[in-house]
Amino acid sequence: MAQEAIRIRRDRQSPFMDKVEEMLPEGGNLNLCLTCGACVSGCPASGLEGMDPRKFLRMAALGMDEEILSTNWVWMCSACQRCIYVCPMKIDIPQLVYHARASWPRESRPKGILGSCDMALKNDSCSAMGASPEDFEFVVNDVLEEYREAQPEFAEMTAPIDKEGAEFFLNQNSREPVTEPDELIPLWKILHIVGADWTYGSKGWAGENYCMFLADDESWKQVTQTAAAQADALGCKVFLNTE
Amino acid sequence: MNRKNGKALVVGAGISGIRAALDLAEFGYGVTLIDRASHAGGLLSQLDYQFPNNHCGMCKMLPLIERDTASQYCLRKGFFHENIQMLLSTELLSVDGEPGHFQVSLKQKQNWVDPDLCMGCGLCTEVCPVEVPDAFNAGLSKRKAIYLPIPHAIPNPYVIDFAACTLCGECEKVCPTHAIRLSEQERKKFRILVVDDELVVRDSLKELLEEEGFFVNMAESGTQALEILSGSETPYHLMLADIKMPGMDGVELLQKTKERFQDTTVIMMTAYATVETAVEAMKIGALDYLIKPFEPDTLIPMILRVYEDFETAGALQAEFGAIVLTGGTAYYDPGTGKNTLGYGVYPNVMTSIEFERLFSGSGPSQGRLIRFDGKPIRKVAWLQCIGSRDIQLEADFCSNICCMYAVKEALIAKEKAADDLEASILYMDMRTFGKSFQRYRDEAEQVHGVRFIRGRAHSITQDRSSGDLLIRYGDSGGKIHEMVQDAVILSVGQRPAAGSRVLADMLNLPLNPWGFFESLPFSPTRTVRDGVFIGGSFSGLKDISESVIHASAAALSASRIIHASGGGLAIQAPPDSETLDVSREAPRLLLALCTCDGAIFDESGKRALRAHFESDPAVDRVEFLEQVCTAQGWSAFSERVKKHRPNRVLIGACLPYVYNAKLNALSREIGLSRALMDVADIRSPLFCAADASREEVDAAVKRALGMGIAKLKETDPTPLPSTPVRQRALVVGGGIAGMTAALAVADHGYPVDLVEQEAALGGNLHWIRKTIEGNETQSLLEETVARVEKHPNIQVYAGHHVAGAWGEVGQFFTSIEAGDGAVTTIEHGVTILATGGIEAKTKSYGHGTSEAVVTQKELEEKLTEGRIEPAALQSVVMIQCVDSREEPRNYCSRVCCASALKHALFLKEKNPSIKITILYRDLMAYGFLESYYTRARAADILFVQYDVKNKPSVVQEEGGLLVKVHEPILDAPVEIEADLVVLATGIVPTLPEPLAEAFGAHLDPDGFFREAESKWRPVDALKEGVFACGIAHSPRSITESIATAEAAAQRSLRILNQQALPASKVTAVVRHSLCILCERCIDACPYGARDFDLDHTQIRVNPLMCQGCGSCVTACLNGASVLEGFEKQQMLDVIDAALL
Repeated sequence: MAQEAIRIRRDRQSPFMDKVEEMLPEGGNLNLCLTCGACVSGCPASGLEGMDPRKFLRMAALGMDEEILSTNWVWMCSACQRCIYVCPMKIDIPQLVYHARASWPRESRPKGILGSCDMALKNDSCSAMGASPEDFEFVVNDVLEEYREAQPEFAEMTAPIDKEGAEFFLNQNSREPVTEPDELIPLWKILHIVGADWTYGSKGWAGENYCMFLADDESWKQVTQTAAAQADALGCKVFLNTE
Repeated sequence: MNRKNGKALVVGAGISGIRAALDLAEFGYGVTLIDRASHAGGLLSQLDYQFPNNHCGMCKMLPLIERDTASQYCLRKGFFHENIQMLLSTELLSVDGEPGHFQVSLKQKQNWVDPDLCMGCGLCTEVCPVEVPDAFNAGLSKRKAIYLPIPHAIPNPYVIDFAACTLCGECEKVCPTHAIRLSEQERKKFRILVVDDELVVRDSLKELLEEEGFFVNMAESGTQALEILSGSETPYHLMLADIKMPGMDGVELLQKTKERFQDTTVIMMTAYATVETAVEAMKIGALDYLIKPFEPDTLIPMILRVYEDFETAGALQAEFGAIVLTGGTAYYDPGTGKNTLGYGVYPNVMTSIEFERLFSGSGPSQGRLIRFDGKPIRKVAWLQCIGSRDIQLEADFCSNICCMYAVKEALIAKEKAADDLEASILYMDMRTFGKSFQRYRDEAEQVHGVRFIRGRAHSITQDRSSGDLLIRYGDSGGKIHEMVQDAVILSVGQRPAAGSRVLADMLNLPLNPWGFFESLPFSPTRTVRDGVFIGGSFSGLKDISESVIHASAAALSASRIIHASGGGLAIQAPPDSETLDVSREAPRLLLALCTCDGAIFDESGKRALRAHFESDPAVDRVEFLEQVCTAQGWSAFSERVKKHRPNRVLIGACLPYVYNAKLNALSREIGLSRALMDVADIRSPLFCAADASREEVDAAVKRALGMGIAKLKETDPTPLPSTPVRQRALVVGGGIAGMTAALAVADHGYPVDLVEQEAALGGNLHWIRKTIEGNETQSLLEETVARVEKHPNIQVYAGHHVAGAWGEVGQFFTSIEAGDGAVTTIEHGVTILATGGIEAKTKSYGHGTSEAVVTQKELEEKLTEGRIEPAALQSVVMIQCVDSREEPRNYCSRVCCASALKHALFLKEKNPSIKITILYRDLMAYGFLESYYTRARAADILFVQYDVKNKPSVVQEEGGLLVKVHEPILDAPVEIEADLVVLATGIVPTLPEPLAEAFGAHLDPDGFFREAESKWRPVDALKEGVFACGIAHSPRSITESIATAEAAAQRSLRILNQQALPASKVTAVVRHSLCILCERCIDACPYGARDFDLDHTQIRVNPLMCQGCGSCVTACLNGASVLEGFEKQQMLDVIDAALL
């Protein structure tokens, strides 16, 4: 059966792409595609849902907004940026995908990401796993104590929380304190050995930011701001983002 | 010989520089050809196989006229011409003065191996203890610190790489001719002052530099440094100054030093943080800067460069009428930047140039396709556009040649592997825009099975255990494929030649946004500085053919300036003696033997040789001379010749090529034909067999001399004939190419007849308004026509066509017919065909049935006339390659993609809301046109690629046209509504076959002019004296047409320049009594010098076209074909002598 042809009207429009272009410096170079396929060959999500970065961009250029804004593929992008990294035209495909995500009604977005973002907004930890500042503090101190006792060469090691004036403000993916506390240790050891002056924050200690993946700008901002404000409040000079 | 007083400087001795230099030299100017490298030949010295036949053929560039003025051996090895002075290891320092009279200073590096003394025996490399990567093999093999830069060069003196040399002196001890003068370096006299507040930096630098043999002093502050400088009686040559120091900082120290000690060179030392300060410091006099911590690999070469300047005693000063810059290009280094392809990380990822070395017979594996780990290469992929067409790399350009060299390399790889090899090319657009490129590509795919894959690989991964490489790519529809390869070749693109910026600043010339030299609008070679021209790849990478064309065009422009400033006057030299007719004399040979200061013969050897050769009645006398290569030795030799008046002369010495020019001069002076003088190499036998006994060496010398004598004895001494030249040119076709060629010839003082069949001059320029760059073509047309019509040397025959022609170079007779039937006969010495071409007619896509379907030309005309109004259009679809790039018109017309881009951008400018879609196969935005393609996409012009097997279609529907095409990315049909469909139908030539053949030229399968050789003689017909330019030659833009026109004019001038064309000493003749007219020799002749003379029923040889190769002699069954200088008896005698 012959495939139905896509009709390109004489007043061809691409409203979605135009909108994204307006928001990006240099329009994200979205028009510049040479259709070389470097992105396709490097994208981990190529072929999923019958889609790939080049096809996605092409459909946007042809004004196929309905398909662009409804495909589940946008949620399979890991925002790794491999596409723009090698793109000879430096086309900001990740931003195009991000804005396609943002166009979805919030409640229709994938449950996992949505739930993780909502969880982060529940308290000042901003933890996608819902761990509270108190829980975090307990786990950190508990693990630290255990290791200092078990490994006398690290008896002096510290893992401060809210240490004022520390040089580095460090955040931490929630997975370790919540499910794999022992994995917190190696980084502490490195920081101890190099003599770094660092601290966690009781607020905004969680490094993951699912609200960004959800393309929920407001919530993303809230999570980021919580951490940034705590680092500022403590007078830290450098924000070390471990994510 | 022809020698004018004008002088030209050619900068860069790659293929373009050689072409330009030969052109100017053949016209009679004195040419100085310089190169900063220690060898000539540029990149081509590394490339063994060339498109399209994998042959070299560079020798076809050697002079065809007055051949005896130049060397007659492989041009890739090197060359000599009597009017060319070649200065290697030489750079251009400064240029002052006016066009016609430039005062130029040049700087030539010291040769620590004397090229006049070095015989190339190679004993030095045997003892050299150092090994470093060999740049000639792109680093794939090793060489010593004393080495041959090019293994095949002539002359080929060894050079020393001081960055690698440990100064151990072993080479100097073993050199048999004392050519190495390493111990003459007085590095202790080179005084360096190191200024740094950190003791550890001072100490480590002192140690490093003292190890290199320099005198080093130290200061811990700027103040102390100035005290040392003023307190010292002998000046310091170099100061290394730290930027960040307490108190007086490095910049202040630099200023103060430059005020008081101008001769001290200053190099700044800086941390990363202050690199910008260092760059600023260079503007106020610092030579360069070093970034801490130093790598000795960067530091030592930089210091050595300054030291070399110190050793270079003064600059050479000379006056030149014009300067041609042929500096070539550099290539992108894929190891820089993100390097997702793993170059330099995975050993089997290599650049295209490295691959050329790999399959070269003189390469690291002697031409076998094997990897370092010994695995045969049987699966290879080429990745295109590496470093090109990439705005992340600031390379918004196409590099022009990579598509074709990738196809060529793929075919060579297949041939080398006896077809047991899988070759894939991953490309974006296969840019087959040149003459014959499309068929070459198609044949590679269809006949040889090269895989062409449209796509670009994101990255390469390597299998650690096997070293094999994994490439993943998405096909057009997005399906992912993986391929495992033995090797991956990166088709690296162009970068400006090193030093372009410095040269541009010095000459006050602009560079384009990517750092390449830029010519003026409508000129491929002229720059904003009158008298300074660019040729070859200096203005962007070009293939050999285009480089040669542009080099000749640059030579023409230079010649014009030199001529205008009086350089065309002949040098007043004592008139040549009349050539003596010695044909009735018995041979009286003078044998002059160079003793090389006693190195070759001892006294008993001399006696034995004299006795041996004087017993030959043909040998009049044997003379032993000391060092014939020196001026003193030569004058002793010529005195003997003048005194004894022999009718044959043989010199026994080393390096025979050294004597060519000297013998030519002597020949002219004494009137003895140059054919009766020769040089036998008696030095090689000595070091070819280092452990041979005295007797064996003597026997070898005797054989070499015996062969030389045998050859000379039998040489026919009859004086050579010459052909008179009618010093007048005929140009057929009055478009921009024809007019340009006519003006170029006429400006040199020769009369030109310009024949144009239309009533008005101008051709295609009448309908073109602007170029894509925005240059006005109408003013070009008006100015050119006005110049032609006013030119006293140009006779225009408008409304005339050529009715018939006969004759050959020097003497053509052409009858031209006016509209009323009146016939005029013109006599001329050369013919330039500039008959142009037109846009092809088409019936495809409904052209001719709808007003809304037009060609690109019709669009341009209608836009000009206001018959198409951009504001009235909503949607325009352009279709490229209409009836083109498929049989029977299987060639790219080169200009159509640029036209489409030009018109699309124009429509978009006039009506920003217009929607434009361009349907294309491969977008031929070659070279710097790429930026217009980028601009078009940025302007929201949509490009949809289509497959020739699944072409678009155009249907009429209510309200307009509907264009149907398969969209490859979506892998779905699309239908585009359009108000106007524009067809790019390409160019067809209008060179009638009978016209071409009347002049003895031929057409290619598509009706364009067939070149003698597409690379080396790109505007010549095989028949000497006939040239083509413009679209008659091949589809091309206005500026590109002008380049061919200037090249054709330059080629004509070397003939018009002569009153008579002398035949050369080695030419073939036919013994008609023995000839059976089988015509095998005609087929065998690669120069087309033979034809069947119907009037006399015999085979005829054109002595000017014959290059003396001897192919006809081997083809002839009857011994009727004879090569003078290599006759049968002569060769048998030579063989006898060799077997003695």
